[in-house]
Amino acid sequence: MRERVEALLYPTIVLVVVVGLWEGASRAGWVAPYILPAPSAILVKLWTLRDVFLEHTWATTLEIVLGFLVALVTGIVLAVCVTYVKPFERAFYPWIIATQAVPKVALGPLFIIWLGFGILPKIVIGALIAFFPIMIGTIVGLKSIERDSIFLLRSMGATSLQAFWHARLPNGLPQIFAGMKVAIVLASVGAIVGEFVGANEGLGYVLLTANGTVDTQLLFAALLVISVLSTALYWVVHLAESLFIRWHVSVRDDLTAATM
Amino acid sequence: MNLVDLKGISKRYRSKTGDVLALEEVNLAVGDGEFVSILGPSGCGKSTLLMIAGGLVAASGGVVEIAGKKVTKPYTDVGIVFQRDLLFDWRTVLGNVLLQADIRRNMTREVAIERARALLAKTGLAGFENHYPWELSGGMRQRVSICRALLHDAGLLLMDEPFGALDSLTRDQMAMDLQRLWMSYRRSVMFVTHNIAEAVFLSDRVVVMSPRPGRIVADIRIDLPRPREIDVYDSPRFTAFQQEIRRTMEKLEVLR
Repeated sequence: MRERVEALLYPTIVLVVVVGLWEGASRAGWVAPYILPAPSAILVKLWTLRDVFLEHTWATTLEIVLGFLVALVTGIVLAVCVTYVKPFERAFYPWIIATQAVPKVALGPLFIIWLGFGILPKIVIGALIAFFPIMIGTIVGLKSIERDSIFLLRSMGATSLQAFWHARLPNGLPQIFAGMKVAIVLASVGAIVGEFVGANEGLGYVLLTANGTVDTQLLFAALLVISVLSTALYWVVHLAESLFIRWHVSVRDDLTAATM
Repeated sequence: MNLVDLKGISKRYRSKTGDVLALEEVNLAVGDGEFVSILGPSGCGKSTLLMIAGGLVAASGGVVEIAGKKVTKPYTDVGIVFQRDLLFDWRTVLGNVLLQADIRRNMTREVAIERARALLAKTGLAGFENHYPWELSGGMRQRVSICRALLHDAGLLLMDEPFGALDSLTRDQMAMDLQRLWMSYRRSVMFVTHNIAEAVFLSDRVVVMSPRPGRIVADIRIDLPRPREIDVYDSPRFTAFQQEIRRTMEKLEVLR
């Protein structure tokens, strides 16, 4: 109980102190408002434009979530192919790795030409960045099963599908979720970058607009919303993880050794 | 009548430093309902031999026959216990035992659960059905894996140093319990171990293997009456069997 209170209390103290100093510095006129507007001014901005923000937040959320889901499906499908189909691994794996050397953000303009200014290029960019950690996590997860476990399943007459479903997949879930946590953050980056390159809605678009009009208050308000949004999405994945792999060492809290 | 017949089994591994001959011309027959221990030093290929018997590893030479049929793929009328319990952390104790039925789909859920509960009760795990593996001690975990191997009442039990990771007190207790379980089932068991006392205590026959390349150098019938109690360890005949096996080991220069 005491630990829980501390876990909440300490970061809250840090937040209050930092925001307080910031507010004080702004009010005292130590920094120009167009450089660093006061937190209160940012919140006021956010509140007056709440309808606008709601709309743009929804657009960005949709891009991130869809980008992430596409990444999840492609990542897992590719990982299964790499793990189970040797010729596929031989032929494509090196190229999949090689694509990671291309800065995918730089492909943004190309996707705008190909796919227009709508939601599609944002999903593609997000998915393209986010599938990789999921794929790597899934490959490692599916492969890290002991030989004897496979022997055990074979002695039961298990099919490959049964071995996948009963052993490889659940055994690999911790690594898959680790990949998903990185992926959801990357999907957020992908969506915002996609909006930078060309968009007429979304938080990245708001950010660019604010930049164009040197509206620092709006810029900070947008930043705040983006941070809250991507943190919230991360927590959704985290929550899913703790539900799905309650049995795993990283999630269960029976080990005092974990704090050593 | 023999259940398992290993005829002229050899196994050659390819390694970086050249080919390694792990097993050479191993002939071994296990009778129906017989408890046979395979005893040998580490690295003599006894675990490999067990996996070959189960059709899980292919032999380089020789033939495996079980119940008169040649084994060319994983043999499934079998229960296996490994040194590591290989319990799935995402399944409860009961769920881990039921894995056997979930994969085989050869008995109804009700029957499987009933059998699993009975086995767990027999091995002193009543009340732990809904616990998770990480909440159990090493000995309890291995009991669960034994229950899993017995759930489907297979004709053959392969045990690969099942008590190797346990402390010696737990080990003795497990040996007693295994004997009791086995006496109520009377299925063929191939039991790999490097513990002489354990092998003598449990077995109808102890087969001694040489260091690599593994060959069978002694086949000793242990005709101590059953059930064997814990004080059989102190009996002169038990000691004599141990001595005989130890001498064989000395001749092989495993013990010096």
